[in-house]
Amino acid sequence: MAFEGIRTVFDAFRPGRGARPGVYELARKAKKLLEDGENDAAVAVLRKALERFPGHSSLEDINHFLGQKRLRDSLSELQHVAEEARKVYVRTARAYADTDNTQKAIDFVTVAFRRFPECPELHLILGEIYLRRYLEDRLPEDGRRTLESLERACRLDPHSLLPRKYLAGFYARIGCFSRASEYLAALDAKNLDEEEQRYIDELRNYCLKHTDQTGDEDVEGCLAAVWDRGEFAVNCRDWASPHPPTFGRCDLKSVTVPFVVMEMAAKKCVKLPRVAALVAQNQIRSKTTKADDLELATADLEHAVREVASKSVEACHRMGLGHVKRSELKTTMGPLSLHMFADTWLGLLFKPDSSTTQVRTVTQQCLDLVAEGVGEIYESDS
Amino acid sequence: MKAILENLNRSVGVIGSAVMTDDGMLVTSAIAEGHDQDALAAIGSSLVISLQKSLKACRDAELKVMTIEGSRGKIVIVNAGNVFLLVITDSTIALGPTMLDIRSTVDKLGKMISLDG
Repeated sequence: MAFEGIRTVFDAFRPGRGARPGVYELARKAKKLLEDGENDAAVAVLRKALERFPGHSSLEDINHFLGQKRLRDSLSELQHVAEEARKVYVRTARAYADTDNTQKAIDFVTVAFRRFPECPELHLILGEIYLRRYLEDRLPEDGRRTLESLERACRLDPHSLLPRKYLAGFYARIGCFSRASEYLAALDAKNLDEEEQRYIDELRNYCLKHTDQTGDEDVEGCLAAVWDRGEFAVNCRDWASPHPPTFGRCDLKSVTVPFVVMEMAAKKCVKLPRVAALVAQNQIRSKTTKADDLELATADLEHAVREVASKSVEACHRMGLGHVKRSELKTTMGPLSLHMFADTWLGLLFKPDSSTTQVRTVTQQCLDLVAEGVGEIYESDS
Repeated sequence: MKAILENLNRSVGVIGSAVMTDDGMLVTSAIAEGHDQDALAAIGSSLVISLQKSLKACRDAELKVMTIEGSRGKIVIVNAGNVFLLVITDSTIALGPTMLDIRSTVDKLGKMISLDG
């Protein structure tokens, strides 16, 4: 038994002499593999070596190092994946917020908070949703939630400009002038364009003049006062207010037309008379089906359709005209008819000399085809 | 010009109207009380500029008429040569008869601009 032990030690010190490699050679081999980045091969060598020389300090050192390295690699990979997931959550939350489907957006952000409670972008998106709602209805409850979300976004990202700008405008609007001037002062250091900076300076002067010197400003009181009066203390117009939702109609949630249905309908519709092209779009995707003789560049047409859609929604929203049902354009490249559903829209471009009756008839046929497609999906779902 | 717009605003269902240049500058506007004149100007100019720009990219296309139908009202934009006429109506009216009034306003504006020129 003692002889066996001596032989093991002896073997360990005589590498490369026809016998099995010794412990130091194995350790060296494992180290080399590790240096070359071949972790799996290194682990295999180390495992075999440890079977032969259990507890040997050289091997244990490498083993420990390898364990730490794998842990570090895994953690860094996990961090990367988490960061990517966070970006996807933020993007999706932004998409929900932009479809004017406020409740769905709030629900989604609330779920996202469970995974990323410290994500400033998510707090900012939630703050924007509540701020948009507050600027429309002036409900104190929405005001409180706006403050909570935006102040948290500021705290989590000390360099972010947008939540500070919103807060400055919010406090000015509700008449908390002292707090407003603090945030306005903080905006001074940021690189804003000249016109905006001038507006901020004017607003700040106004706020400083009207600051209540007697004591602390009562936010709750200010929110209640705005609600009672039905108007803001200062009309900041569009400054420091979130953009209106870019797309979609919350009152037509039931009319959801999946993108794929539009794509399929477009293939059929393009064969109808006078149709030059169909553009199916949602906030992320865009697909154009063109008639063979149309020479217009797809990207230009898609851009035009997206502009018409977003500007129509913005115009109706700002003028208080509700949600866009359709937009119709007569242009020198032909009539363009745009139909909006919950979060998708369909643009139909007709040939230049098409009459109004032709446009109406064919448009109706296209919409019928889309409706058929939606019906088929609902039937197969049920 | 304002008188022409005020005359148009007397048509059934018309809430307000504005004239703007093709680069989005507001020339004049007239809108019923309780509606935001500044918003009308801002929206009009933003719509005209961005539509002109995106249509220009489509083989130099130009806007003739645009109607946006919202659930609570409609917006009509008509190209009147050097200027654009923007009209806001309520949602209940049929645009056909109102379009006649709009067309006649466009003619009046065209004449006025050519006289000025």
